[in-house]
Amino acid sequence: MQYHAKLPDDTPNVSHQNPVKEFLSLLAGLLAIVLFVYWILGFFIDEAVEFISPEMEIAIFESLGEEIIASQGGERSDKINKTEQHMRVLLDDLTACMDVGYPIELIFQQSDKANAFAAPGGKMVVLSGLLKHVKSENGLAFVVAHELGHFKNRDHLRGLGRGVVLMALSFLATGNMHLSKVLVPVNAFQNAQFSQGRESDADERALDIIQCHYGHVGGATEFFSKISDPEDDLPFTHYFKTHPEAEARVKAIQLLSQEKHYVEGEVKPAFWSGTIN
Amino acid sequence: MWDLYFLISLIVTGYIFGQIHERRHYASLKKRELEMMKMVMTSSKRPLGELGPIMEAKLVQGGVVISVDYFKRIVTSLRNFFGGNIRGYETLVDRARREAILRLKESCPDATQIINLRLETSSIYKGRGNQIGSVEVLAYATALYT
Repeated sequence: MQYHAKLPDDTPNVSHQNPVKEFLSLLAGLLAIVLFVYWILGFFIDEAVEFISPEMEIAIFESLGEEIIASQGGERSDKINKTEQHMRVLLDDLTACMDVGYPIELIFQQSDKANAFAAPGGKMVVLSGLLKHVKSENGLAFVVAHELGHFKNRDHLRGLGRGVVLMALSFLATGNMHLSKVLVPVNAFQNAQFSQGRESDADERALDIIQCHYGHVGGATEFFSKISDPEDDLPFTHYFKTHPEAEARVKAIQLLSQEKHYVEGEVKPAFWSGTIN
Repeated sequence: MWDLYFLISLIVTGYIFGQIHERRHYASLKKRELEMMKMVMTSSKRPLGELGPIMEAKLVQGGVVISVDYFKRIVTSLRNFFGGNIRGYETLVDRARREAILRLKESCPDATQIINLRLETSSIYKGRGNQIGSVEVLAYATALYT
């Protein structure tokens, strides 16, 4: 028997396919599956939301408001407390125009960001950065009424439900908390689709509330006009990622108020002064 | 969103360094394998051919531990979902086997013949969910001197 020295053969044991190609095709497949399941579950969430009564919602999210306030930390200035009181009065006036079904608790938070959102359990969070960019009470009232519209339409629960579903899905699909972040684009994409309709609905409700309270819709587009001004470099990116483009939105609101034969009147001056932060 | 950027940068870094390292390793393996080709090595229990009187026989071994890069780890996690060949790990284990055998040969350059070659593989961090997996390959054999 003859011994032949030979080099290891590296063809049969190792695949020579491009690993990036493999990664991208796997990722695309997974994204497609998650997107599909998420989309289906979205319908179920919309159905399920109808079964959650306001009482049940408050019971579930009772402690959330305290957590939001606690997350702020530190002492609140008198200015903040006073503005919050004014805002509560405004909120009560606006809710008189539309019954949301349960009491709304206003939480005014100090922040640089110009944002407001409807949190589960009837907690409406308004960030003080917002007041830097609206110059009239009517302008603020529209934003508050818009959030009331979300409460009325129960969008806050839908949004939360979708968030929970996505988190659970991505964790199940990848079995890895780090990897589940790869699926974040699904959320952004789905939210954009989902939100546009929701935001317009909330705008419509807000218009009705403003008309009912003031007798005209003056100042309704103030906040969004401000944002659509390209000269203003404002920290809105976070808030408006899921909102229709501000400019298109202003036009939509104007069109809607024309259809409803609402007119613009004199706006009330702001009850806050200067910068709140 | 920053989490996502962080993850992407980890994957890209893992890919770049993993590929550089793998290419260098294969180049080194091929070069050294050519140098060591003359050494007679077999997995048989008995020596090949007639060696005459054997003066010395001793256990020789070569071991190596190689870690997988972050990119491969992510691809593998995705692969776990769909099933199929984990190609990223094929090169990992292949490199480890060849490196272990080379180290074994390098440990006994004067041996007349190396017989009874065996390979053992074990994974380090086995069962530790989020740890980066590493593979250990140990090659052991009997070196004969005449």
